[in-house]
Amino acid sequence: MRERDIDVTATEQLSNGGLNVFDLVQYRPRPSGAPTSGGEAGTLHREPQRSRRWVMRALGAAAVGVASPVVLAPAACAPGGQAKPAPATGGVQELTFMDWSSIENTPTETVLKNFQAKFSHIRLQVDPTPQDYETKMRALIAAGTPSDIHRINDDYVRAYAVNGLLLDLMPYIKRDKVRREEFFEFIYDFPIHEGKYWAWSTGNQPRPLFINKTLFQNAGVQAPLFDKWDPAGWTWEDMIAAAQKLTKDPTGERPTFGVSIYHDTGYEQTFLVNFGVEDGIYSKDGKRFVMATPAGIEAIQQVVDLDCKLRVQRPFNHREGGAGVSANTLFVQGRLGMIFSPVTNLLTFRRDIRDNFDWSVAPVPKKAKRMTEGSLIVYCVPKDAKNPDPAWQLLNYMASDEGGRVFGETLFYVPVRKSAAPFYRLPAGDKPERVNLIVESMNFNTAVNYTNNTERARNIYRPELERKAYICAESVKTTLDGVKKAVEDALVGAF
Amino acid sequence: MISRRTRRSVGRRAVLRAGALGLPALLVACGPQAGAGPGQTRKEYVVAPILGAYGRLEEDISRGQPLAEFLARETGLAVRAYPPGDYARSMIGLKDGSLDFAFLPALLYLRARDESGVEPMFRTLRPGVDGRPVAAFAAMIAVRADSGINSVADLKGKRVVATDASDAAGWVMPAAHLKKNGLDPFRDVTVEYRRDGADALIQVLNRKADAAFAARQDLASDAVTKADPDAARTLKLLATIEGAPLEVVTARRGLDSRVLEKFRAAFKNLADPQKGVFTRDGKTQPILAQWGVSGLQEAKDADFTALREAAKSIGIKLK
Repeated sequence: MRERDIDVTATEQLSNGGLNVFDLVQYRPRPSGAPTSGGEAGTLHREPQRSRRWVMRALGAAAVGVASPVVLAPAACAPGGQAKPAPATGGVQELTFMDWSSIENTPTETVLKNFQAKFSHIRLQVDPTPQDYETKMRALIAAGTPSDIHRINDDYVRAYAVNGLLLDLMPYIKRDKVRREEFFEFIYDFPIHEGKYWAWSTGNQPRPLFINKTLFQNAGVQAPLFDKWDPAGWTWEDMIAAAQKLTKDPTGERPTFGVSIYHDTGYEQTFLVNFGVEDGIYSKDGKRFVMATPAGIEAIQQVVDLDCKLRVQRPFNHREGGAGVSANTLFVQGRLGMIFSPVTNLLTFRRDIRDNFDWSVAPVPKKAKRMTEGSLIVYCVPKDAKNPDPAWQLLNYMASDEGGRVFGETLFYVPVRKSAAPFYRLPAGDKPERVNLIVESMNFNTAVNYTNNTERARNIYRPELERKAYICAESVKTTLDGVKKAVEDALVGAF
Repeated sequence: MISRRTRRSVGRRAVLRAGALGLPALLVACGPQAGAGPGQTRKEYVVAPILGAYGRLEEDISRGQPLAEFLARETGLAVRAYPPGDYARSMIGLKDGSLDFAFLPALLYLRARDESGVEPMFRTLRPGVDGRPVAAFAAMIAVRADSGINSVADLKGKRVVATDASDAAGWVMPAAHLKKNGLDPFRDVTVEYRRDGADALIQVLNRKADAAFAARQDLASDAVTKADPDAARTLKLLATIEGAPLEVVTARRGLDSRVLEKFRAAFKNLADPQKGVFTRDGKTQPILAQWGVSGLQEAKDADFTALREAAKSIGIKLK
């Protein structure tokens, strides 16, 4: 997950207590094994609202009081990622877990409960999500009192790692003979730096296009309905042509826009690479701001021009009647033809879109390439974690087929393990169509090159883009030229 | 007081101006020097200011700039402010030599002292309950008067809101008080960290939490008064713990003693409300006031003994 200030995502709404993930998805438990094409409606046992901590403790209560002092070996992972319970010969182990949004009533909670039930010798405590997570997490780490597992922004892993704040997981990976080929390699590889393994990803949230088929149909435009992620055709120019026909009354009180491409890291990386800027935002060595090269500037300008020149994209600060209106809202209202969005929003769309229009998943338009950037779901074990062994055990379980199945079936995210990825699907007839493209897009992933100071660099260039180029006040070149030196100084830790 | 918009704008300009001036190059040339020995001097000295919430780099840089300019004027040395983004990295900077001076929360000063031998120079003063500058806050454990919670022991199994894991008043001292009274603050209560002490109190006032760890003057904050004008009566204090220190101005180990003395004098003048000022957008104000700090007081390690013991009692690794 990257920036979380663009739109209120389903996950965030969940954390605000306004949503239950099971209100957003139809949960259809299936028999073990490969997912079936149909799936029967199942009954979900829903517990009364209680604190997460209460739930975890209650689940672990059976284990409390087991007196054997034997130190437990973490569970081994069988081929296929089926975690096995540890032998019931040990005493109780403590484990604390903190996520950046509430996990209550989310698939993450389900997975943790399943883990707790299976490994009852571990007493799992889910620490409440603090307000201003990033600041408080850093304070916990600085004070030497972190939770055993923390959710962490994938972009910031490198900085934490090089500053010696995280535990190297490589010894666990080697001990448990974790096999790279069983995972999506780009995810497996991302935490590796100088031979050490600094974080653990349990899945990915790719960014496809979501399209309003009905708008296309009403405008007499062929919708980009493909069964493969990388079909012949469906180019950047095709997308512009479609967007121009879909856009109605762009400066009016209630406009309809052809397209919206988020102005976040995902869009930056995706369209830089697709326009031929191979490294994306930063160079491979993490020291150069490639976005500010002529080719990078041209790519970003093309996206900005969708609004500033062509008037077919929702303006960056779009307002109606004095209030900001997000791209998500426009899409749900049927006033946006195409939205480039992380699949986090899929749950929100499924909840909020009524039967007044038909919608589908589509590939991103192709220029030089048709890649897409996903937001990784990442956790870390801080260096000062008191219980690293059960922490690894839980992380490994979350990435197992058992864990991945829950994340996949609920469309929460695409599981990291290839064998679990097919669980991310919908029964025929459910909307949106072509959810399979999301799983296929995992093979077309582009990842931001990691730097030691990504957050610092981003804090410099992003506000400038938002206050100048994105609102059409000046060219992308002028904006990026103005910050390039400061960003590159920041990347090498000198500013 | 300047408007928020103006401050943000200034901050952005400061970010870019400082970058354009090539100041980073100086740091690269003179900054991190692994193994810098005692008595070593540098071409430029780097100071990490008090940090705001994570991600507010512009604000941190904007606030740090007048601090660096003042220290440079006073010492006659090249000085640069470098907000590292979070206090963990302030501590690391003091250890690896990329920072020479840093403002640290007192708890983190203790950790840095143990890890890398930093020296305490000054401690910050902030307005106390009566508005006069104090070097330590009184921490408190507050509950609703109608909660039925009458003692610390009654907090077992309850939801507590605290401010920050590195905050003496908003976490360490009250947590140690729980420990002293037989409760494990990591296991016997559920702890949620909130933005600040006022926000913690508001959670209790609104019945979202059972108890708040905060500084006593948080009771009089505007936010609390707005939430409940009668907050002082709605809440009751289970405990008040005196002597929660604030921030510490620290110097890394190995600085040249003459340089150290120059900075000591400069920081002393920084605390002088007549001398330690800067002018921005036509308005002159104390530099330290940017962080709500009203002064500095010379400090020694023994000033933080009580905090050290409190922190150790709740399991924080300290000598």
